[in-house]
Amino acid sequence: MAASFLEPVLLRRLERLGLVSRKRVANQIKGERRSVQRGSSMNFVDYREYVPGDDVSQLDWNVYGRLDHLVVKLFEDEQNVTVHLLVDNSKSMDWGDPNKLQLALQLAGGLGYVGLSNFDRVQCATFSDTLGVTFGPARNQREAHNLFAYLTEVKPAGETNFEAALRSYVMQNRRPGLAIVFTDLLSHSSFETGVKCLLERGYEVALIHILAPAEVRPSIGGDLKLVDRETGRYVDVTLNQRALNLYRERYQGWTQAIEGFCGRHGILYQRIETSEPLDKLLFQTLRKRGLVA
Amino acid sequence: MNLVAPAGLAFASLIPILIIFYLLKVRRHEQEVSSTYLWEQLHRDLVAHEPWQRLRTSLLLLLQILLMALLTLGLARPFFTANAQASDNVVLLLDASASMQATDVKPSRFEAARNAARELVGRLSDDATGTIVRVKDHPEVLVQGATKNQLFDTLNHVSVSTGTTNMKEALQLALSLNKGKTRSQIFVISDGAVPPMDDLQVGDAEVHFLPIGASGENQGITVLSSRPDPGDPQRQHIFVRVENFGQSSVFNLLSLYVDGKLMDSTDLQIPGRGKAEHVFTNVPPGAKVVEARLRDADQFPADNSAWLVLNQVGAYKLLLVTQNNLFLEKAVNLLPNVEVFKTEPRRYVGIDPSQYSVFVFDGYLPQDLPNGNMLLINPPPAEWLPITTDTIPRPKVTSYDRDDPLLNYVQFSDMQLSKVKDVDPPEWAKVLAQSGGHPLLLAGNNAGRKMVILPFDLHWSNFGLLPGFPIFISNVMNYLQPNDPSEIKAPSPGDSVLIQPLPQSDEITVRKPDGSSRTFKPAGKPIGYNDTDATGLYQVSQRSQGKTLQEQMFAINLTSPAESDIAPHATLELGGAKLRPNEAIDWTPAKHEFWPWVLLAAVCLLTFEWYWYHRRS
Repeated sequence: MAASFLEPVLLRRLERLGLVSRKRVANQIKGERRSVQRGSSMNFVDYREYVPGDDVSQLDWNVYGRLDHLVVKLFEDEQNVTVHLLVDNSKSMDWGDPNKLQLALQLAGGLGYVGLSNFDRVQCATFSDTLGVTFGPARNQREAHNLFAYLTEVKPAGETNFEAALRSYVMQNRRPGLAIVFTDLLSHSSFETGVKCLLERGYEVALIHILAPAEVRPSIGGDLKLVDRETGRYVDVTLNQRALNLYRERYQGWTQAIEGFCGRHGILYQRIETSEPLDKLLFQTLRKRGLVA
Repeated sequence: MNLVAPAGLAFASLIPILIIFYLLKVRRHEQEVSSTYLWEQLHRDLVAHEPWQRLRTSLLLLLQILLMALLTLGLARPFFTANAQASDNVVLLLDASASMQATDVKPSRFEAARNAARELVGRLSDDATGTIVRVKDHPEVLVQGATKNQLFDTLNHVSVSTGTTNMKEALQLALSLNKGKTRSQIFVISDGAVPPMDDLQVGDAEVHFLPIGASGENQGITVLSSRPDPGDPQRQHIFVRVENFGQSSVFNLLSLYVDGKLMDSTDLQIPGRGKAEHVFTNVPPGAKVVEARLRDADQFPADNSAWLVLNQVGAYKLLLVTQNNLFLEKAVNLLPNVEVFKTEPRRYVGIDPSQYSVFVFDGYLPQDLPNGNMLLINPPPAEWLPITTDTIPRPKVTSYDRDDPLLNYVQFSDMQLSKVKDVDPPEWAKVLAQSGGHPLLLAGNNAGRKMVILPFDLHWSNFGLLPGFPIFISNVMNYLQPNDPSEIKAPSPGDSVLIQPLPQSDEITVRKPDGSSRTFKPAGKPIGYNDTDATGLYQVSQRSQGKTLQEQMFAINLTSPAESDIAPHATLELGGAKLRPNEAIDWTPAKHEFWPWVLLAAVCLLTFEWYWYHRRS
């Protein structure tokens, strides 16, 4: 299953990567991930005033001898990260050639494999109007097989409701971490509300915005009845040059609004088109964006 | 407006269907997209879920409704009713004579006549044919058996002339054109200022008269002539006659211009339907051209001026080559304005013939003919003159042309002859007198030389003793003299003018009164010049290799009382009967369908709609 889901060659290359978490997270388990949380590793970071209750073994007696002042040494703590892979499997994702959902699942599998290879805690879930079946947590590479099997079974269903689905997810998971959301954002429901639920709970959010080339640059024309694959709604349009120009303007306004929101809330945002090769997305696009290193 | 096929109006029922098409939404092809999220609210046209839409103001819809309405109208075949000619063929005699220039009807009588003709043509049935004859000094068939459109086109281009009217000839022509045709009518559109045509029988032909004109008030110069002053032949007296064709007595000022300068004026009182005459006696010697001019303009200005070219003949040299002919010498010496030189035939070879303009060869003919006109008496045979040395005894004058200017006042029949040489008349010569088929007198133009031939010796006859002999010689010299202005007769406007080229002339230019000119290559033959519609002075220049040989003038005047009498006539006297206006015109109501015009409008509308649709999209 795993061999057919992602190429073995690609998996071997992915083992050399690691996910980058830019936010401080509080984890109980020491992992291989370097965290900005001060802890008990050997890497000294800073001092702070001693307060009653602190571990007296962490007092710096040399400082006390010279300054007659009690300070505690702070060390950088090495921890692993919980990676939440959230894949939008609404019907609008099941569209385009190559298929948007298919690419989202492959990306989720690839990034999940990176996490497992680095002993990160990997959880995965699909969502549309509600939260779907979840996977994990898994902690080591041996469980990648199960992750790929889970992803292979994912089917498109329902309309997207970001708020309901993501709120439900954070309620079920008390361990925040790096949440990577794969979606096309083509929904009347507000994605902002859903993403804010993650942020409020301390998740570091990366938004992978997946679009088909035909959504970016429509090549259809004539008197058409456009039927929404997800909702069944339709729009009558006469697609002449003027209408296409209007669409482009609206598309640009929409993407700029998304970028603006993500920028304001510290969300890593990457828009990709399904026409781009998977390995290029993993090893170049997301690497440049700082999601993997 | 009525309809031939009212059932065609049923086509209008398609108009509501057309509107329904506009109310219905466009049928669209379904296209599945991932989401309509971005497509919504793009354009107000893009979102409408009802099968019907509100009818919006659309130029295309209005154009299409109008198009349908026009097609409906066209299918119903609309027509209007108008009086039309019952005839299948009409002949329009359109008077284009000078009197039609009168402006008593604005803008002119001719324009009024043209409009009347247009109205007539407009009333013709669609399948009728017509003929238009422009009537002036000679009738001119402009178009024959033409359709209505061709008739209209011809009427647009016809123009008035300054000539006289020959309505009789035009009517004869129209009658011959109509001969054998049934349902045919002749329309005379004229001011009626034509001579009576009592002797013209129209038979069964249907002739109608459409009179044009309102007033006959006009004064015109009808005579302008000159005669030598009895006391001083070098001076000329100018005689002018002015006629008043109106009913009341008028005063007018008559002026005489000599070579373009005012010389004299006189007040004339001219009684109604009367005339006044005046003689100007103080014309200076050497004057070339005089112009008589009436001061007061009237409704017909063409006859208010007249021009006269005075005799321009100067003294010329005549060479008499004879062996003592007393009769001839005496007669020649009596001629005025002639310098006579005499020589004997044997001495002729030593003479320069270019010094002389006229030659008289008596019993002699040089090998090389000189350039000039000549009288040949008893000539010997030559290549160009088939004359025998044999003689015909005792010929009698059996006939001669009394009306020819050469024989004016000459009793040629009184002549007795003992014998005469037999001449085979050349092609260029005209036999003016003969004796049973044997010419006694010939004249003509032989390759640019005017010649008069007497094929007998004067001593063989009593001609030299007759009183008519000096007159004959005078007539001959008037004919042979060079630079004779009478060579260019002053005809009426539109007439042809015969211009005699000089033997040396290689180019002749005629300059019209308006300054335009036309050049001819004479090739030794007389030139017929017929562009004489304008009144005034015409200048004729004869040149040889760029050098002017001779300047002549002739005048074209409208001195025609018939044309100057512009009083419109209410009736036309024809074949002893008086033709009244519009008498018995057979009008009949006729349908004039105009669906082709409606169809044309529909096509134009369709073209505009196509343009508008593509411009919008």
